[in-house]
This record gives sequence, structure tokens and C-alpha cells, in this order.
Amino acid sequence: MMKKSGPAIAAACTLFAACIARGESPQTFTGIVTDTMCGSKPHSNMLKDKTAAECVRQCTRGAYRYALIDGTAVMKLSDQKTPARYAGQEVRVTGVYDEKSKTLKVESIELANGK
Amino acid sequence: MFRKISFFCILSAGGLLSASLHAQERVGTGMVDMNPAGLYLMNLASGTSQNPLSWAMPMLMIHFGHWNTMLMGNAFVVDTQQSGPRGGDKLYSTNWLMASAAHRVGAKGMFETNLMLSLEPATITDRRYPLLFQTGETAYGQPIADGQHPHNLIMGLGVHYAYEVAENTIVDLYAAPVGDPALGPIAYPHRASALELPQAAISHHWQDSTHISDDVVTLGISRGKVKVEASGFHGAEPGENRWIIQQGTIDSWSARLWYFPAKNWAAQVSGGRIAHPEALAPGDQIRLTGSLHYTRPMAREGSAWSSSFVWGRNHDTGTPHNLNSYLAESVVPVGARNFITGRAELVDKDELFSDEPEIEERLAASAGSTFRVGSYTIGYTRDIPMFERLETGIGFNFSAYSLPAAIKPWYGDHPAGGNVFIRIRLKPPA
Repeated sequence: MMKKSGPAIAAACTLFAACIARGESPQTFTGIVTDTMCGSKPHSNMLKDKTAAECVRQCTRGAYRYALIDGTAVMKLSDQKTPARYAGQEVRVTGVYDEKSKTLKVESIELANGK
Repeated sequence: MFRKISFFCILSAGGLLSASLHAQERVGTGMVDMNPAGLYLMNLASGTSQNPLSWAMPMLMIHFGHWNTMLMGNAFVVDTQQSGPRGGDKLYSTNWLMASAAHRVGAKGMFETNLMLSLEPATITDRRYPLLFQTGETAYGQPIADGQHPHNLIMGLGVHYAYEVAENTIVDLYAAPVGDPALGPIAYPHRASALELPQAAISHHWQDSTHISDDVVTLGISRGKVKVEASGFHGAEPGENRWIIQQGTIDSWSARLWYFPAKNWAAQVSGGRIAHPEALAPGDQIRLTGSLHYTRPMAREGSAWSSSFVWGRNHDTGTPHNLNSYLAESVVPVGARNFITGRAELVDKDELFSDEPEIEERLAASAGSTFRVGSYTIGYTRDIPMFERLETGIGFNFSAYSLPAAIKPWYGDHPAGGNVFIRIRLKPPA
């Protein structure tokens, strides 16, 4: 029994080690929920008479996606449903960021002030 | 007539020029000073047609002061080989470039002017490229059979004024000396699912051939997930001089209902009466169409799996015939740089031998005048990045056809066609 499961355990350990080596452990990012249309630009430039939340919701009706702006970095969010509740607000996102696709694979989102 | 064209040319050029003159002010990428009416206009394809909202149009957006400009462009250089006695070979290019400039008018209004150009009158020589079983329009006074006509130099020239009359409700007035009335699905050059196919669909003249019409006026209202629109336009298809803007009376009409159940979906039904569309065929056409479009964005920005299902029916008052067409089409990105694409069509064709009246008469006596033809295309494109602002790639596609036995003596038992191409498209910034 042990002999049969040995290679599988070794493969799982290797995979886990590879994930650790690639830095794929979740991190926490704090920022504002924005959209990929406005990115790091002020929402008031885009839709003057609307709030930031309304602007984000209007932009994401089309092809643009919810994103997190953390300082100047704009990260697309893998979860496109939950962020709708937090449009324009400061949130804390836990997840794994993929630099190549500039996408944050979301594990959880909560308001930064904890409410 | 001249005054009318001049007015629109000046209006369109004025918009684009005004945008460029403001270059001294604030220039930047992205959009500024928008409103819901502007966001609505930004999602339109040609005329007032619309792909699913989730499809990211490959569009460059630059603002000059308070003017927002958008630029899209697509070109294919194609070598085609078509089998059999009615097939042909050719090196040609299909291409188009679309520019628009939009400016806010008051708090809730948006004005937009657009211009779409094509160099196909020059890059498709002899007024056609070979495409088995394709029919429609004329070349050198003869009806085109087994070939596709080029598009006009000016594929589109028009203005929109959109206004947010209530929350989630936009009214759009579109007027165009050359434009796309509210009839049919998104025309194939602008359809997300046809993005990697250089050649026309053989059901084009059953479904979306009015995308270049003269003297178009459309009024539409969009509320939430529904859009209703109606158009008046000149029904005659473009003449053989592809370098000019033609004019005519508004003698045709159409109406279209859109439904967008979710971001990834778009559906439309439409109908219209087109007055004497074909120069050499008698009568009007009553066209009915229905279509369903799906786009699923992929992880890579701008990449999407898009599919379309289209039905189109022409009732020719001159013959009178009811001719149906069915199309299914898809493009699937595979990995970061590969696209698999396909198109399947069934079309009732009654003009295949319109360039050879003797054969047409003989067939009419023995086998009838309408033949259901099937076209089945599979293709592949590989992106080969070469320039920062261009999506360059190479690809090929292969088409096989099904046809009735009665016309096999002229087409062969297994007609086929192939295309090898280079694709160049303007690339939006990442």
C-alpha cells in the first residue's frame, strides 16, 4: 500500500514545493475597487456627475472589469461578482497575484475598515 | 444632394479636426468627460449594431481636450485558391479603418461623428475576389457569381446624438449618408465571432448586406437590457464605382429589437423592406433575420471566445422566392497566441448562374432555380508579435461545400477553397 502511494506523495510534495518556490502563497492587498477603464485615473475625469462607485459600475457594464488599485498598480480581480458590492470603496483582498496577466486571484474581499 | 453630402463630410471632418486641434490642451489615453450616453455609443459596432457588452473591441482610445477619439483597424492580405471550373485564384486584401470622435453635449447628451474607410476598391482588383457560391452585386455590368465584391472607400460616414432621458434609458438618433441601418446582425467585418476570417460569409446578402447603405436615418431607444430601433434608408446596393458616395431617396425601412440578457449575450430580431437592392434583379426584398451572439472573455486581456448563430430570409417580390440562410460561426483563443475559427452555413441560392443565362434556363427547366448550398470552414491564426501597436499574425482556412447533384457538373463533386493570410490589426494598449 505504502509502496503504491509513494510516487503520488512524492509528486504532491514536488508540486507543493514548486508552488512555494513560485511564490504562490496568498498575500493581502489593500486598495480601492476600480475598473480597468479608469485604472489609476480619477473617476471624476471619466464621469463628472457621478460618484466613484457609479463610475465603476457604469464602466464594468461593458467590456471593462473590476480591478484593485493598490498605490499605482492596477490589478484585475478574478472574482467579478463580489467587487460589485464594494465599487469605489477601500477593501482588503487576500489572494495570489499573477504578474504576467496582472490578475489577482481572489480568495476573499472585505472592507478595509472591517465593516 | 451635393449639399447634403458636404454637410455630413464637414460635420464629420469638423469633429475629427476639432479633436486634433485640441491636441495642444490635454492629450492622453483613455476617455474623459463621458456620461452614460457616451458609454452607450462606445459599445456600438457599425451603425447601431452591437456585439455582446463583454467583448473588448480592439480599439485605441485617445482624448484631445474634451474630445474622445476611438480608432480601430483591421487588414488581411490573402492568397485564395478555389477549386473547379468556377473557382479562381487571387492575391487580395480586405481591410477597413474606423475613426470616431465624441464630445459631451450638456450633462446628458453626447455627440459622436464617425468615418469608416476601406482601400478594397484598390486592393481587390477586377471588382471581385473568388469565393465559391458567393453571389450579390455586379462587376463590369454582370452579376457576380462565385465571387465577393469589394467594399466602398467610404464604408461609413455619419453622426450620432445620444441622450440619457432617464436612468438606464438612452435615446440615439443616427444619421448617415453612408451607414448601417437597423437590419440584421452585426455585419461580418465587425462581428466578434468573424474576427479571424478574412472572407465574407456566403449568406452575407441574406443577413447583413445592408451594412453599407446610403442615406440612413435611425432612431433607437435603449432601456436596460432591451433596445428598439427603426431606420429609413436607400435600398439600392452600392454601385460599381466604389470610390464615391452615392445618394438616393429614403425608399426602404427596417426595425430591430435587441435583447442583452447578460454581459456575454446579445440577441436580435429584425425585419425590413429593401427597395430594389440588386441592380440587375427585379423587385424588392423583404428581409427577416434573427441572431444570437455569445462572447466569453478569457483570462488574457482582450481575448475572448465568441460565437454567433444567424438566420436570415429574403423574400424577393420580383421572382417571388423565399430564400433562407443559416450561419454558425465561432473563434476560440487557444493559449496566448492561437485562434481556432470556424463557420458553417446553409444558404438557398438562386443566382449562381445569373452570369450564364443559358445554363440558368436549362437548370430551371430540369432541376429548379434554387439550390441549397452548404459551406463549412475551419481555420487557424497564429499571432506573431512584431510591433507594439499592431496585432500581426498569419493564418489559413479551408472550406468544403455541399451542393445538390444537379449543379455538380459545373462545380465538381467536392468543391473546396483555401485561404492563406497575414492579419494586421490595431492593438489597444495593455
